[in-house]
Amino acid sequence: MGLSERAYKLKAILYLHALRTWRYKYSFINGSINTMLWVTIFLLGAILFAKPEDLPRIAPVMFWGVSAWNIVSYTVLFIAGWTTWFLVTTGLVEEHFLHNTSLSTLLSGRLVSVVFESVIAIALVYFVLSSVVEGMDVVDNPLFIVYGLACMVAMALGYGLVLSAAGLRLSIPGTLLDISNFVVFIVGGIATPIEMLPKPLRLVAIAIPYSHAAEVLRYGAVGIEPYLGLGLEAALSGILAAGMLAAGLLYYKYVEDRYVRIHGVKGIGRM
Amino acid sequence: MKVSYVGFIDVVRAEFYSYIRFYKNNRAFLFAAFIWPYLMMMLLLGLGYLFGDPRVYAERLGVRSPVLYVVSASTVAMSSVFIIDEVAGYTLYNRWNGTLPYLILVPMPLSKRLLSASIPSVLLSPAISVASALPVAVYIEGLRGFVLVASLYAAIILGMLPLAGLSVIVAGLVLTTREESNIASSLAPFMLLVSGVFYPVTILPRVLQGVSVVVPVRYVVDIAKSLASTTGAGQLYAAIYALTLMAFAYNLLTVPLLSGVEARVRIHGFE
Repeated sequence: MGLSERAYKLKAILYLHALRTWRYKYSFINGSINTMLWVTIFLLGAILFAKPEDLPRIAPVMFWGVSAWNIVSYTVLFIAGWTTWFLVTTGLVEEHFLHNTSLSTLLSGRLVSVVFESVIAIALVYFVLSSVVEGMDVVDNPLFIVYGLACMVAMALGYGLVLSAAGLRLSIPGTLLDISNFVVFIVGGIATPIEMLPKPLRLVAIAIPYSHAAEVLRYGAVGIEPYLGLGLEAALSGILAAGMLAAGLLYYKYVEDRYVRIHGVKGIGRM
Repeated sequence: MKVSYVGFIDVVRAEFYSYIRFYKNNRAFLFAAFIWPYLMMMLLLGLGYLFGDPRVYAERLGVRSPVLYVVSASTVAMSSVFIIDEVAGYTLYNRWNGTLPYLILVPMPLSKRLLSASIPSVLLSPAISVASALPVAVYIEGLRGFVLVASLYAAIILGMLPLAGLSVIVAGLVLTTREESNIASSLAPFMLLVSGVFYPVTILPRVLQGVSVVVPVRYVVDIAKSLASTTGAGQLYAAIYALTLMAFAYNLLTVPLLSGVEARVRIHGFE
């Protein structure tokens, strides 16, 4: 495939996702605020457990924890969920095969919608939290924030592609396979620094890839020293992100070539 | 020839039958409905314990037992979610099932038709949530816990009357948006957010505090707080008056608003 053909496909995929976001504008707005409203309800409740003098220190941690979890869960939902509830339902799997376009390329374009929705959602949470906690400072070093978030997106993209590919083979929508969503928020080192978790849970958090990127993110946000040290956490985040993304793409190619092209799609559409 | 018309009572009876059959055929869903208040409680208490101390929470909310209050608040929250989802989503689910044209063709005004659909939700959804909360309430507070939960059921029923009217209006408006996804799904978390379900409304930004004045769930939460309060039932009567007024206002509003929607749908159709 030549460079111009790649560029043409990339442009088509970006255009598709931007156009679709505009076509379903109410759904887009609804999707942007829905999860974050839920999360904000719990955040505001959890804030009342903290002593007032601790709030300026705790609130930025909560803010970035929720923002990171939002990006991770939206990426997985928008890729794995969209595969079965839209792509398979409307018969677009075969259509893309006929145009020699991998589904993983198409699905990676869903990051366009994730970015749009996340920006709105994160702004909403900031609006509510900053009005509750006066003088909340959420940025210390933007470089580490961007690096941490980028690693988390790459990890979530890889994980979402694995679930999406599994959804094509099984008759279970990909998102229903994602039983880890809420668990990783609490025990996965996303909501709180690993240091704040009870000791047995720290081992669980270290085993979950997102926790390392979250530690780097928190360092950039409020300067909390990462659990395993900044250098090691940053290196681990990058390696794990690249590994998960590569695993997702390779597994997708395997499922496409060795299963879907031979047996067809087994995944179901709307239940 | 004797002609028999379908009356309001007949439709309500049919809706009850449909509602009960749904749960009978979806026992996993019924089980999920029972455990959801506990999942909400665990999430809030989990976050709360990580970030602070439950005694601080109890003191700031003025409640005797934080666990009992969180269970009560979760019960109110889940009842509200079920009713908004079931009533506001009623037209949407029928659209997905392909039965909406038949619904529109029923020889009965749309407002009456949708109100009849809301009655089983108003009575039975809170019963499920309250039955779920009962064991914990009795375990923590004994007979007082039983009385508290029974009073909460009465309060929820009173609160759900205006909420059902509001949801019926939304169900009608969804027909005019020309989008197929559940664009009203953020309505429930928004109402819970502005109602201060796990925190006092006073910590919200002023604009959200203003919105909360016309949201019925806020007053049900006020009643729940009064019942769990250490200082007596100060807000109780004001909340009951507000809910009674809203029950009349919102349900009377449904008739003219839905007449307009019905006329529009009959001319322009829906996608």
